[in-house]
Parts: sequence; structure tokens; C-alpha cells
Amino acid sequence: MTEATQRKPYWRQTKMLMVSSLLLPCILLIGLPFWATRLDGVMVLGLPAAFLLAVHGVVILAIAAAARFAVTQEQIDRWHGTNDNG
Amino acid sequence: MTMTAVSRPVPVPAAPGAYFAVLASSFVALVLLLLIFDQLGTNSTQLTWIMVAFPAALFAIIGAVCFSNTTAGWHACDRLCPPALGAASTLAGILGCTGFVALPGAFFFLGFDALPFSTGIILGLLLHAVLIAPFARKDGAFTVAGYIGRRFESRTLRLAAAMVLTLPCLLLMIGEFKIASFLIGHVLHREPSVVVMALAAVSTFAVVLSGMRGAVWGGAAGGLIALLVMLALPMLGALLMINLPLPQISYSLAASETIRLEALAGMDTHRAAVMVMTLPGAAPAALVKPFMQAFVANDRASFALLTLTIALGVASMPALFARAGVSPSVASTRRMSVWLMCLAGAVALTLPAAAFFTRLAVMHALPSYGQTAIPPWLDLLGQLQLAVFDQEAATAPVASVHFTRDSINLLLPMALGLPRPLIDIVLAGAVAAALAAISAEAMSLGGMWSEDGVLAWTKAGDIEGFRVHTGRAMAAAAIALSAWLSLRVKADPLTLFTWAMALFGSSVFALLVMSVWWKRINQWGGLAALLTGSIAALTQIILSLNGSMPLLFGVSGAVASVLAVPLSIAIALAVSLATPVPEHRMVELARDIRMPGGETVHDREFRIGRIPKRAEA
Repeated sequence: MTEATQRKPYWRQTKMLMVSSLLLPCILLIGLPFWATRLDGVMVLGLPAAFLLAVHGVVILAIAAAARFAVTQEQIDRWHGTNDNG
Repeated sequence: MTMTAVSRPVPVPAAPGAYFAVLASSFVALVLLLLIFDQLGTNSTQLTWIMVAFPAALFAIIGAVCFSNTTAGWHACDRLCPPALGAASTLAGILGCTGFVALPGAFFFLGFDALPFSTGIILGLLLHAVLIAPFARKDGAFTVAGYIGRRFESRTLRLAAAMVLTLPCLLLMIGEFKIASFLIGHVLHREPSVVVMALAAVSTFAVVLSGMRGAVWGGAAGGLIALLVMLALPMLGALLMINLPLPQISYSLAASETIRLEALAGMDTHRAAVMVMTLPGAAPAALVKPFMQAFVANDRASFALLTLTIALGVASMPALFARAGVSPSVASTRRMSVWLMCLAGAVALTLPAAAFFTRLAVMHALPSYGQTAIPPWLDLLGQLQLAVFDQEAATAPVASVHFTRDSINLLLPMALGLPRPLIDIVLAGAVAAALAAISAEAMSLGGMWSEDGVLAWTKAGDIEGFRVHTGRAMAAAAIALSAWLSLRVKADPLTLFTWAMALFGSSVFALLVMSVWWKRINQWGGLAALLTGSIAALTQIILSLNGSMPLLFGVSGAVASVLAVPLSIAIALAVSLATPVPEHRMVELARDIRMPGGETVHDREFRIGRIPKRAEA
């Protein structure tokens, strides 16, 4: 069992990572419809900018957030010696 | 001394890529072979039957090969599933025919306004990956209800969670049966009941024999076939229409052409009124909305609420929760989540592209024919009762043709004039996706009914053989019940999907997240949150069904969880703070779940539960 002195900083870093991984994607994805209309008439790569961001931007952002979370959490686990050598 | 049949763990290939390569090459080889026979003049109906039978036979064979007789094998795939393989089967399990058949139709009719589905699924997977999956794997419970019961040391809460989650799981299974039987029944001229019985028989055979092993390995095969079909058809469409086989981005080259054709057809560009949400139904409908125009079918608030509902529902899905436990470690679960996001991202990019090229092919084809000369593919669709067109209409041909949402996947290869086997691959993908989803939900329901219902009062590690047999019986019962209900219930599968997501999110999302991230929550707070969320969502859905009563804040039942989740969080906070602090054991368990290393909590309990037996022996 990991000691409380090790557990607290580990959990603090994990919480910070959770917040940083979810905050931006959640705000952008849920807020998307409210700022999409401001991009009316703007075309990027032949597509309306709002459409391009809603389709491609969302996917890229979410995958990047998930990948960053997995990599950083493994680093945190290793640093605190809580990884399970998976 | 008695001898018992013990199943060996399925050997995990050094590289799961080998498994995928064999499956993919088998499927491609079959398609090429059928193309040759098609050119040689073989009866096309026979070729269609072979194409439909292939994924079903593959699923049944994998189910038999993966036979399991242990609780770890039957419920958790021996915790040996490689991340990429687990991701493919999980994606097929959570999307199923709804994602493969109904969503392309939704994108075809709504374009931009169907994005809440793909965006919601992506956001839901991200929420699950960060907030739930690693901790679900560390706990190691086979079901959501089992996790909740152990975390709060409450059998009442465990039983209540299993009862609450039963309805949305059944809704998803009913939807899968309905979509698959609609599409395959129409094309093969068979009654829906025949298709439903065939799907139920194959999925029961595989699930009863192999449980989660079959659901994972067979689901990965199904997911691969569905994904190949989903990617291949738009790629062919893009190649034939704009000479660039990268449909996910190349449709920008034809965007201006589509906008011009939509304007010629006089499609409506007026923005929707506040809180209006229109989803395409199962009945035939005409193309009336420009593809890239935003907020014509759904207004901005409904768009955001639907995204949130789908996201919370996906993140709380019992089938997704159960898959977190099949990985060898917590780190492996995180890697599986990233793979899952990548595959879901490919689907999210492909769905609008496929719908765009289908729409372009249809709009190119229709105006070139007069009212009396209809294209042969449209005539065939009409004969199959998958499209309705009005010969007397004075409007443009595009507006006078009504397509059924769940046959849109067939439109692209038909409108492009591709050979019959390339149309039939849509049916193969539908069968593969349906079997993967039905088996995933059957495992969720079977696990909950057996482990959290019948066997909830037994000790972990006891009566292992009986546990597995009870799970088999309950999974078979879940498939039989949902198959029967799918033939009795008259409802749109896409609506059933959104209701299921609303109910999943409302009932357990707050509880799952708070159980990990807030140690102070106790069983009273948990029970209050579970009941409040589920009752609020169910009430909202029933009110929206009735139609005679005004909706609360104008929110449709399909997005009920956006009200129910904050309510259940508030209730959980208030009740937990008003009742005694949780016992030290529960707090220690919460701390244990947070630390990724070591044995799962469930496996430890299971191992300790068997020690007295060994001592006696």
C-alpha cells in the first residue's frame, strides 16, 4: 500500500492532469454551436470554417487530449512508483 | 474428487495486427471472389446470402473457439486483451448498427446538424478515458452495478443500479435488432422476425459459449469488417467523383458544387426556432436541408444539449465500463482508450464524408432523369420499399424522392453503379456491427442480472461454475427478451439510442465520477443520486412521449440528462453531507482504486474468497 505522504502528491498531480485534459475540449465542444455562427461566410480549404472545425477540429483536439493524458499519466505513475508495468 | 472442464486462456498473439491482417485479408478475398462470380453471371441473391452469412459464421466460429468456463474468462476475457483489439471491439460494441446504419442516414439528411452524435460520442469517450476507465480497471468489477455495490458496500445500491440500467441496455439491444432486421429483411425479402431470430441465434451461441472472450475477439472481427466497409465505400465514391481517394478531407473540392445543386433544389436555409430539435425518423423523407448549413434542423441550444446528452451517456455505458476491465493493466486500459479515440475519430471524420458523397451522387443522378424515366438504382430501391418517389410531383426530382434513413448506406454504391457485391458489403457490415453490439449489451445485461441480481448475496470466489452458468443463462435471456421486444415495440431505433444515452448519463454518470473523485460521498448520497437522476430522466422522456403536457424548460426527453445530471450531483452532495461520513474501509477502498499499480480489487477479493476452500482441500 502506498503511503499517505506519497499518495497525496500523486493524486494532486492526477487531478491537475484531469482538469487540464478535459477543460479545453469540453469548453470548445459544448460551446461550439454558440460561436459557430460567428464564422458564417468564412471558408477554409473550400469548406465553411465552422463545419471544418466542428468535424475535423473536434476529432483532432479530442485525440490529442486523450493521448496527452495517457502519456503524462504514465509519467506521473512512474515518477511516484505506482505504475503496474503494463 | 470431481473433474471439471477448465478452459485455457485464449493465446494472445504477439502482435494483434496479425489477427486483424488475417481477418481483413479474408474479408477482402471474399469480396474479390464474389466480384469474380458476379462477373461470371452467378445468381446475385446467392452472392448476397454468402456476403451476409460471412460475418455471422465468423462470429459464431470465434465464439466457439473462445469457449470459456471460468468467471475471469467469461466476464473479463481473462484480463488479457491487447489495447488495439479491445478498442476495435469496444467501438463496434458501443456504436453497432446505430452507428453503422442509422448515423450515416442522419448525416445524409441533416448534414451539419447531425454533428451532435459524432461530437457527443468523441467527447463521451474522452470523459470515460480520463474520469472512469483507469479506475474501473483498478477496481476490476465485471459490471457498473458491481463496482457501485463494492465501492459503497451496499447490496441495495448494487441491486438498484442493476435495475435502473436494465431499461437503457434493453433499448439499445431493441434498436440494434430493429435496424438490422429492417435493412437485411428488405434487401433479402425476408420478414423482420426471421432476421431477428437469426441474429439472436448467432449472438446467443457465441455469448453463451464464450462470454466476454467471444464478445471481445468476435466484436473486434465485427468492428474491423464494419470499419473496412465504412471507410471503403466513401473512398471509392471520392475516387470516382473527384479522383482523390481521401474522402475525409477531399469533399471540400466538391463543396461549392453541392451548395449550387442544393440552391437549385430550393432547400430551406432558415434557422430553427429556439429549442427546436429535429431528428430524422425511420419513415421515408426527402432532402430538404443544405448539408453544410448550420442550425436549420436543430437550434444552437438543442445542438449543445444533444451533444452533452450523448457524451454523458456514452461515458456511462455499462458495455464501455466492462471493457475497461479486460486489459492486463491500468496503463493498458489507458492505451486502449487512446486507440478507441483514434478509431472513433476515423468514424467521426468518415460519417459526414460518406453522407456528403452520397448526397452529391444522388443530386447528380436525379435531375438528369425526367419524371417518367427514373434511374435503375432508384427503381430497385423502390422495389425494395427503401425509397418512395412521387410520379405526379411538380417539384424538382430531388425534393420528390423520399429515402429511408436506414438504407442510406446502400445509396452510394447503387448511385455510382458499382457491382452487386460492393453493395452487399453494406449488409455484411450491418450484420457484423449488430452482432458486436448485441453481444456487448447481452454481456452487460447478463452480468448485471446474474452477478448483481441472482448472485449478489453470494461471496466472491464461491460456486464458480454456477456463476458462469448463471451468467450464460441471463445473457441468453437478455438476447431472447430484446429480440422479442424488437418485434413488438414500435419505435424509431435512433430515438431509442438517444433515450438510452439520456438514461445512462442521468442515472450513473454523476455516481461513477463522484465515487472516484469525492471520497466523502456515502451510500445514501449514492442511492439518492441514482434514483433522482433516473426518475428525472424517465419522467422527462415520458412527458415528451405524451405530448399533451408542456416540457420542462422546453427540453425534449431525448436530452433529459442535461437536467437530470446536475440534479443528481446536487442531491448526492446534499444527502452525503447530511448523513454520517463513510466508514474508514470505504475511504480506503476509494484510495486503493485511485492507485493504478497492483492486483484489481475484485481479483483480490476473489482470491481471498477461495483461500478457505483450498485449505480444506
